[in-house]
Amino acid sequence: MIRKLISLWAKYEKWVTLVLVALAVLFPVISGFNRYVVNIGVMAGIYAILTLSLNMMTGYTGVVTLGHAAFYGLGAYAAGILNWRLGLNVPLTFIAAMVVSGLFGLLLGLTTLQLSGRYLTIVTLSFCEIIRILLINLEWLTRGPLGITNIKKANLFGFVFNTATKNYYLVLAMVLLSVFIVHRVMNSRTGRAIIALKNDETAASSMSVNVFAYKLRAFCISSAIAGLAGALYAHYIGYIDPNSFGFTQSIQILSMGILGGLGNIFGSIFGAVSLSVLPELLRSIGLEDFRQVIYGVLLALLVLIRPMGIFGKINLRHRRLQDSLQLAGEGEEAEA
Amino acid sequence: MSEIVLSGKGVTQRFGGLTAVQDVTFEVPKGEIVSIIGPNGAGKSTLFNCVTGIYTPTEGQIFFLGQEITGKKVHEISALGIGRTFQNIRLFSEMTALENVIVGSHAKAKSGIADALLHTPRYRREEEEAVKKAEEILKLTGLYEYRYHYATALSYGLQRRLEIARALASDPVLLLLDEPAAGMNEQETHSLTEFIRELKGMGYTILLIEHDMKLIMNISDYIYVLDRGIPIAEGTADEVRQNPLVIEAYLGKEA
Repeated sequence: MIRKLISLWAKYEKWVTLVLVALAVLFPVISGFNRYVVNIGVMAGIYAILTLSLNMMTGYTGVVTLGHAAFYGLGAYAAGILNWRLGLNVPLTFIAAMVVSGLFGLLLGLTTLQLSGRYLTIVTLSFCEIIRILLINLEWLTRGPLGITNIKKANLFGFVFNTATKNYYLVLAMVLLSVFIVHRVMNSRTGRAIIALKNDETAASSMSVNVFAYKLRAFCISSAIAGLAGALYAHYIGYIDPNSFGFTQSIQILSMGILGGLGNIFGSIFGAVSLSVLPELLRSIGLEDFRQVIYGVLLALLVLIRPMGIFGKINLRHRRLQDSLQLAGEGEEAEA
Repeated sequence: MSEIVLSGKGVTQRFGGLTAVQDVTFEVPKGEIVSIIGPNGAGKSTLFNCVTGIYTPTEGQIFFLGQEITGKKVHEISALGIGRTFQNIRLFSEMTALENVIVGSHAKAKSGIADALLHTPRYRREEEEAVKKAEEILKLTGLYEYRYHYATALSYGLQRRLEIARALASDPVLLLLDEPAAGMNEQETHSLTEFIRELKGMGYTILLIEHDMKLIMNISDYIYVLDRGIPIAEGTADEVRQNPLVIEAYLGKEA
C-alpha cells in the first residue's frame, strides 16, 4: 500500500511538487491574509530553510550537528549589524549573511573536519556556544546581551516588505532558492561524491574522491544557507539577541530534520512546517501546557516506528527508475 | 623486458612493536597478473594498504609508472590510475549499482558546484558521458539488468562483481583485487577466474591478493609469498608450488 503510494508519487513527482508550491503560494489567500496565520507561515519558511541546510550537513554528509543555530545567528547578526551600522539592506545583507556564515563554516570545517562522528558533533555543540558567548561579549560590535534593535524591514530596490504577507513571499522565494541549490548540488558529481563519502569514506577516497574537500564544500553550502535564514529572520523580526541562537534552537532544527527524514528535501520541509505549526495548533485547542509531553510521545513513536524519519530513505528518482524497469519487464513478458 | 607498472623497494610497515610487513620488494609488469599469497596475518592486506596510501610505509618506497607514490593520499594515488576492490565489500549502500559505477569515474570528470547549479554544457556533457560509460561497464560485467538496484540489494557474488565494475570506471592502469573470491562458491569462483582473465586480455595489469589457491595457481603470471610479513618465496605458479618454504608456511614443518 505504502509502496504503491510512493510509486505514484514518484511517477507524478512534478505534478505533486507543482500542487504543493501552488498551495504554498496561495496560503496567505486561503488564510484570509490573517496576520497571525501568515506569521506562522513566515517562521515555518525560515525553519524550512534551516532544516534544508542542516539536511545538507547531517542528512547527506553524515555530520550530526548540534550547533546549527550558530550559523543561523551569524547570518542574522551579519545582516543586523550591516543594517544598523551602515544602513545596508536586501540584497546586500542577504549576500553578506551567506558569505559570513559560509566563511565561519569554512573555518570550522578546515580546523575540525579531520575528526569523525561523535567527536565532530561535540565540536559543533561547543562552536555554537562559542559563537553565542562571542555575540554576548563583543559589545562594541553586537551590543552584547541588549541585542540589536530596530533592524529595518527588507527593502528590495525601494519595495518594502512591511507586511507579514509580503515577508511570506520573500521567505517562500528563498525556500525555493534553497531547494534549488540543494537539489542541483546533490544531483551532480559533487552530490554523488558527498553521498559516497557518507556511505564509506575509505571506498570514496579509493575512487579518487577527496573526502576532506567535499565535506568542506558541503559544510560551506550548508552554513551559507543557514546564514540566509538568519538574515531573513533579522529583517522580519527586527530584533535579534544572542540567546535566540543557542543550543535550544540547534536542537529544534535537528528535531525538524530528523522528524521529516534526513537526506530528503521534502522531508526537511515537512519536518520544519509540521513542528512550526504543531505548537500553534496545540495552543488553539488549549493543550499548550502539554506541549512537551506531546513532543516526547511523538518522538518516542517516531524512534520506534520510523527511526529514519517520516520521509527518510525515500528516493523518488530511484523509485521511478526501478519502476520503469519493472514495467518494461512486464511488457516483454506479455509479448512473449 | 616489459614496462614495470608498480614496484616496491624494501617496503616495511611497523605498528608499534609489530612488524606487519618487512622489507618486501616486488614488481608488477604491464599486462600481467601478479599475486600475493600467504597464510592469514601474513601482511598481504597491509601491503595493499601501503600501495593505496591508506598506510604510509615506515620504510621503503613504492613507485607507480615510474613516479614515487609513497606517502601520497589515497585519493591522489587512486586518481593516478589505480583502481581497487575491497576484501570486505565496501559499496555505497544508498546508491544504485549504476551510481556506484559513476562514482568510480569521479576522477575522469571536472564539473563542480557552479556547473551543477547552472547546468553548464560541461555538466551536461560529463553527466551524459559518465552514465554512458557506466552502462557500458555494467554490460561488460553482466550487471546491466541490475543497474537501478541498490548496491546492497544485490547478491553477494554480484556485489563482488560490482566492486570490480566500480574500479574499472576510472580507466585504471592497475587493478588491485583484494580477495575477490572470498566467500564465493566453486562455480562463482570459476566465473570470476574467467572474468579476471578477460580483464587481462583487455590490457589491464592486475595485482591480486587471494586465499583460493586454485584461482591463484590458475591465473597468476608471477607470485609473491609472504609469511608473517616476510617475503619467503617468489616465482611462477609451478616454482612456488614446489618451494619447501611455502609448503612449510601453509602446512607446517614435517615432523
